[in-house]
Amino acid sequence: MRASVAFEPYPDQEIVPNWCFFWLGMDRAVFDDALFVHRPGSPAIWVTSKEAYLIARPLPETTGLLVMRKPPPKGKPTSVFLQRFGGGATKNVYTLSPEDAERFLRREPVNIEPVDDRRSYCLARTPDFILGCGRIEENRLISEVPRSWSVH
Amino acid sequence: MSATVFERYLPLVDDPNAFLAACDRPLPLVVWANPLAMDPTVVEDAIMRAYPSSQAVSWRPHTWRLPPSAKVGNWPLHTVGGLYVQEEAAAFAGDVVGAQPGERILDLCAAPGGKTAQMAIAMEDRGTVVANDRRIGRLASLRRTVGRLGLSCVTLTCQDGVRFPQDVLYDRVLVDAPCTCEGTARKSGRRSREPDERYRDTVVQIQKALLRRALSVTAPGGRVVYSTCTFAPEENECVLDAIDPSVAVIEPIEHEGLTVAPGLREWNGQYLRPDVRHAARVWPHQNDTGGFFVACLRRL
Repeated sequence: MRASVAFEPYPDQEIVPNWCFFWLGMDRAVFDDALFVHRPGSPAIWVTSKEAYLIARPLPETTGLLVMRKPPPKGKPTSVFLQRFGGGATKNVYTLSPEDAERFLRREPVNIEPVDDRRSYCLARTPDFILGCGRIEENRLISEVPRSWSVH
Repeated sequence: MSATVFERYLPLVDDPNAFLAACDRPLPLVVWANPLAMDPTVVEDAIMRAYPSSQAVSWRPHTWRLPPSAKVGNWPLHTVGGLYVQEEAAAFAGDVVGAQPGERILDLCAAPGGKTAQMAIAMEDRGTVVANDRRIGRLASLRRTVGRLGLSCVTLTCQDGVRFPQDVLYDRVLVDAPCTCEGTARKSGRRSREPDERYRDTVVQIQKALLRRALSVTAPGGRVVYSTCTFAPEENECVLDAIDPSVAVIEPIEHEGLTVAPGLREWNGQYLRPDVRHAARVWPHQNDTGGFFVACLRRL
């Protein structure tokens, strides 16, 4: 469905940094140069540059990166958001081997030992780069990366 | 390849045989690293492990030439936005824009988004890149590029570039115009055909209209980069020649490490405005790339 309203600054600029601090142990200062935006009437939160000019014409299809389709506490962070901003995460972080990283990108469960919270969204990465969002179920890491990313 | 396809360009090149021979060879696969996603040395290590004969591109940082048969699309590094595949000559056009952090930039014909991504990365993801494309279907590829590379400063719009609203002025505008694509003949799976003159006549009108609109939304002193991936002077120098010299001047382009030829001063007996010589023609045989045309205009 095509957009019908322009993006505007999200009323609560702290809600996402606070969520990231609480669940992923991220420093709120990571978002010093970021502006959270939304389309009035839509629950989704997006992130763009604090220096961004929010154009109204033509009506943008998207502005920046999708953060969550619903605001916290129900929202799930997108993998693109975590890849871009999650480098400093210190909590609920799982560092995978190359084999498990490929499995994760194929959206296959990976056996892990929970490190922090036993049920939560988490950040999966390799030593060199961030893979995206996962969630912990029992002793398994469930991939939440988009189906379209699936590595064959 | 039949010499007749590009016969009319043979008098324009310094080495016609080398030009025709280059058009017959497959293109190297060129990739660059995305420093927003990871340390470029991670990408370099992966490339050198998989394809040891790969070479760093001398004129551009964090960019490598891989063998034409190389495949990187299924690498995890690719999936998570660590690298991007882009024709080398196309990357030149994106670099000429000279995007700076905090600026307001418009990419008028942006899909699939390689040059948009170059500009956003050069801006350190700070400021605004409005990436526009006329067709909603092509916006999907643009959206994938922006998401995969994690470019938060990019806004996507879907508008006929010729009618792009004029209520906001931009510091820089890129017009990577639709064209007859003769310079992409080396891409695998493409076949060179005799040019469709009727299509060329149509596309030239679109190119001129796009460039005029780009200049009308550029702040005084701002930069407009006009590029195509075709050799045809009608779509390149002649489009520039149609611009009123009181509106914009064509400026020299820095191209250290890349061999380019100057823009033509004359075509089919028609003398063109003198500053079109500052435009850059990238011929395939000079750098082992595709063909490209780039011009840098300063709005007066």
